[in-house]
Amino acid sequence: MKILTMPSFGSDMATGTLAQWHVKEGQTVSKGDIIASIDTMKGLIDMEVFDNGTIDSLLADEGEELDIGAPIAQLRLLSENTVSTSNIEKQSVVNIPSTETETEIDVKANTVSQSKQEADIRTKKEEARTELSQQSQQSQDAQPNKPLLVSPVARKRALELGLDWRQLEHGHGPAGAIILQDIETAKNIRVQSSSQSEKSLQPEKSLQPEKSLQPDTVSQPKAITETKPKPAEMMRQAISANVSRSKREIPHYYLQLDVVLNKALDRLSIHNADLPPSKRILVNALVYCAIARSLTTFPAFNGFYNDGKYHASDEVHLGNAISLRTGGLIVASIHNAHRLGAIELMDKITDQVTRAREGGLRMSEVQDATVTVSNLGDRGSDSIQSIIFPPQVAIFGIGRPRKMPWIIDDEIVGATIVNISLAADHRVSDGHSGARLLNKINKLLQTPEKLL
Amino acid sequence: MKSQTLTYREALRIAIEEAMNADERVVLLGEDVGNYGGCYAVSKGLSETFGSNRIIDTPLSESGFVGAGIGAAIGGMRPIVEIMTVNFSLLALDQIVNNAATIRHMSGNQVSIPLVIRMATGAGKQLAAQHSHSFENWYAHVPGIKVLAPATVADARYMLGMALKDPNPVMFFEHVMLYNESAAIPMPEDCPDMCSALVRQTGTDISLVTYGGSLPKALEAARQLAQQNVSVEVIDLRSLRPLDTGTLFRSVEKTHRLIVVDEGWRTGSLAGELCALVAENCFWSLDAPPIRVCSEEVPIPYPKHLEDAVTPQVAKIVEAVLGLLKQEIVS
Repeated sequence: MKILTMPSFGSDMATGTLAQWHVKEGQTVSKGDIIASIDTMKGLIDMEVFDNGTIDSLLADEGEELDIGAPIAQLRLLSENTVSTSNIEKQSVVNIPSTETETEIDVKANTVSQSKQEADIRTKKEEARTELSQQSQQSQDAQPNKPLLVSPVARKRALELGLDWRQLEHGHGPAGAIILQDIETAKNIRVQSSSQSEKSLQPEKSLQPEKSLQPDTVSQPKAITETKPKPAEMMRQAISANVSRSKREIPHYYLQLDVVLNKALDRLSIHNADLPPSKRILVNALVYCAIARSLTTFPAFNGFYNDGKYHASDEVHLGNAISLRTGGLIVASIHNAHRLGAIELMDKITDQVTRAREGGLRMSEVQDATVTVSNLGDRGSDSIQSIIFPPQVAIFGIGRPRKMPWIIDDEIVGATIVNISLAADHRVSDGHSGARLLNKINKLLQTPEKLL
Repeated sequence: MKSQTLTYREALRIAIEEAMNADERVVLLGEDVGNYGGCYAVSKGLSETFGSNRIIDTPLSESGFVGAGIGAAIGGMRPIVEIMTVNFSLLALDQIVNNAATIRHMSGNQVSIPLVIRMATGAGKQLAAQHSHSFENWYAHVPGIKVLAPATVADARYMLGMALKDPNPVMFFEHVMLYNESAAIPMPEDCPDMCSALVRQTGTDISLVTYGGSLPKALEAARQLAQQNVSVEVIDLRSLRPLDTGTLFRSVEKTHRLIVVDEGWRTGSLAGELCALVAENCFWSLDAPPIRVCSEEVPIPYPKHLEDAVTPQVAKIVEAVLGLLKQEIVS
């Protein structure tokens, strides 16, 4: 039995409201099915299921607001009738980093041991949830009374990873001390959540550490935690924690290049000539396309830096930073952008921006971007120096396309220029290759027919 | 077929013989080393080979014959002095600490003391409270001397020669429970030098640091723990002064946990020193407090069961390791 929990759609989320169930108890589901809509401060996001099985029971009611990691449903896996207790015990040894997961395992254990007493399960689950909420309450309220032990190396490692060990209820060392293993477990879960693709994603595992990313929000004085912050405030705090971590840990370097868009615009005007406005391609789509394709030959800018090691990604999942009307940001991931032409990219961008603002982004779309593009052109800024979104290692900024006198072939001509900037992680790449990457993008934009 | 093994005792005898054959300045002196063959029979038969001029039975006066050894070393000889047991070496403490350890310093580096002082140490033979202690801790406190604790047949075979080549006084501690240990005939490369600690078994979960008579116990504990999926790294210090802290720190930085096993008492001990060094130098690598498994703070008792009860045993080491790694003790 797998417990599905309130998923995290990034570090800027602490709770979610179960807006709507799309499945019923007893319903068969397949990997990729939308089972619920979750209302977050990012809007309404569709929750997918990542296994084949049967929804055994729903543990949350529509309209209920739950912490990340709270159990919301039980899924009986297709392969599950043979699960042995020992497997579960083994799992629980490896995997008890947090209140949430621990409770999750408790639930599993209960479920197995009481498989004959299905009727009792419901009560047990209720207990588990009550326990969970009590525990998380304690972790905030009762902290001064209960000293939390943490070993020196665990403390140091947590600092390196930007994890807040105070979020862990207790560890696996003597007297419940938090030890290195506890931090590594918490870290692995985070790595998994940030680098996983759809096939291996286990939504309920991405929880605790994401929450832990917000050390500053946790240690707030009591008076503030008692009145729950509004979603917009929470998002601001989360963004604050994330960018602070990025600036603290990532040695950024910044490059920028002015790119002449004349050829791209000429090509687009031909393409768009007979199309209705809704079908027209914007020049941004060409720029995105050029960036995504260039990255396939520059792996040092497309991947994740975790635990002191860089892992390049084979696929380019291009994150598009979308500003929300209510304030804040969401990064929607365009999967396998390097294999898409500008026309398909344009459709994706339009669709995602709409869904991001109205709600309805899929879980996988907000989780696994391997690189990000931030476009401030339509906001009137000529250029942007961005902050990398960890654990990614690069972010591109696109400025406002503007008409300029430019020298081409020794003649002053009118040209449309866009400033493309790159902020990259110096631990992984050097300015030399960064500059080559920008020039490659420029080169592609000079042959726009190939991008369509 | 003749078995190709060697005991610790035989290894020492061969090492002494080899040194005496190679250098006629090497002599052996001590109580009953000649006709009786040494109280642990290390020098048995050597008197016949080398004669009473080189295998010298001395009066029962540790201060006297250790002093004679120091004098002989200053005079150009390469003496090996055998003291029956570490408890008796206290009678020669003045010669060792005030003379042997200081003369190079006080003479402005003019005088070398190439002297080796061998002695038995440790409990386990039911020799009671005046013959069973582990005072190598105390000697490791003193600058000016080197303190070795060979724990394997290979080290017994080859460390003695290295100690004799050293121009400074070297204390050489032979744990009584090791004399009958045997191993395949060692090769010189099994004993690379006399001053580095050796990783006798690699592991990842915990560093078990020990020396001398506790090494076989630590290795046995590691073997038992491996069956419980605990990966123990066993470090044999070999040299108690100077200490090879590099090997110690590298191991702790890898495993994040330290247990020192030392038959000495814990108060004011080398075990305490090792813990302090690790706390000072590896603090941010530690995942658990450094722990000592030492003898209980009583004189070593005579009855076998009490002697075993007060000294570190395999079960005690296993228990300490599991306690330190223990999953989930919620207080």
